[in-house]
Amino acid sequence: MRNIFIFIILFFLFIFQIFFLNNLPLFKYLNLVLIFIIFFFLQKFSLSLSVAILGGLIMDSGSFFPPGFFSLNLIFLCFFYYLLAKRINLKTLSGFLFFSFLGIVFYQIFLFLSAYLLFFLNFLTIRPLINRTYLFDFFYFLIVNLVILILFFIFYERSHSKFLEKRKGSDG
Amino acid sequence: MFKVKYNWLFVIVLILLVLLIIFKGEFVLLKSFKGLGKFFYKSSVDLTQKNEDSELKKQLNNLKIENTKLKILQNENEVLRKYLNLKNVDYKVSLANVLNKRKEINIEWYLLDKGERDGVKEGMAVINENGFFVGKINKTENNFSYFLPFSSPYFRISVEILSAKQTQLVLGVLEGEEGLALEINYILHDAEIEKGDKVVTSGLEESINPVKFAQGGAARQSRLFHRVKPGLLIGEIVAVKDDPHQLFKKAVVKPFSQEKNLKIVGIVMPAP
Repeated sequence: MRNIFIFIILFFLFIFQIFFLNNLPLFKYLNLVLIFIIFFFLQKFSLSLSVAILGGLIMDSGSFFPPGFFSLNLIFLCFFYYLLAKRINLKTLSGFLFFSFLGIVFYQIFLFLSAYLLFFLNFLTIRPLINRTYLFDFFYFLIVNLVILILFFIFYERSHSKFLEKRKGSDG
Repeated sequence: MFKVKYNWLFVIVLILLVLLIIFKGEFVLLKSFKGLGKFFYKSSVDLTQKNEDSELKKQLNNLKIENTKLKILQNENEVLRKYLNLKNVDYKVSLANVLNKRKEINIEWYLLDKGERDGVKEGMAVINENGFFVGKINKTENNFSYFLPFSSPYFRISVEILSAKQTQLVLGVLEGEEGLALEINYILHDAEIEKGDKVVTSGLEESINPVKFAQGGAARQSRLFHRVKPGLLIGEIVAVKDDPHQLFKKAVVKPFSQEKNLKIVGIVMPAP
């Protein structure tokens, strides 16, 4: 029940991001789908995978790229993150920061490479370019999402430790 | 003890009442209470006024909302009127609402609510309410289409420069660039162009999409594709880059339209 409620909220959040936040100057770099995929790695892999499927499908709607481009990429990325998460301690801030950094960078690389692949396979008319604008956007995307992820982590850790303290108190 | 006190109190109240009747309310004690009364009265009046104010404020807010709605409608009306006023043109304009604007992997696109069902084909030009060229349809679906603005770095279009000095055709390739200006490449060296020359679409490009061509053959290609209408105004030249060591000239173009904040656009269709 709790998960269904979370997914309903996430659905509206992702819609809000794609149809509203994408048109705002700084918020256009915010990718809530990616943020929640990485963030839910603190809890459960299955939750991240579900977010990837839901977010990918929403991102695919009204997309210039062929259908399934974002959802397949995000699902693939989720499994990649799973392998990455096994090697990094996500309980510490530095570990989570490193994981998030790699996650965001790999997201951009994966998208770019798959767009390139689609271009070579004749599924995309536009050949992706790496130019000054792309690098500028890449940098902003990294900073904005990383900052939000750190805030999420701090908030999560605080609420989590408070919850554990309360539980200890009630048990004691 | 209590009885005595009670009696005294009764006497005092009685005397006060008698005095009140005699002096018709203008009792000395009341004067001292005047300030307090005034305060209470004022607060009560304020309270009722506040109620009235809040009513008025509500009405004012409603009017503001109504006014804003009317303004939005007025703006929309003006835009539509401008599209209707596009006279002396040999093409049909199909209006489309912009549903969304997105940018992924440096590719920026607009989503429009008109698609193949409405006769939209890839390669069709997109104009704004003043008739200025803003982009080109790059992908179509049954009910939707996607257009690439000229400010996109992926944008390329064959253009004609209406030279004031030269009567011969001056052609070039306009390349999209983020910012306020665009650049025309591949202008022949002997072309006489100068600042202020107007730039229009040439309609000479071959809109052949290798993807669709491979998938559906030439017949499908001709059904789906369309050349950009020639003669659509893009902008004017603000600078000419003439390097004698280079094979071609370059020109910087200031577009007449800014494609930001587009809500309604016109898709240029062939005249019926």
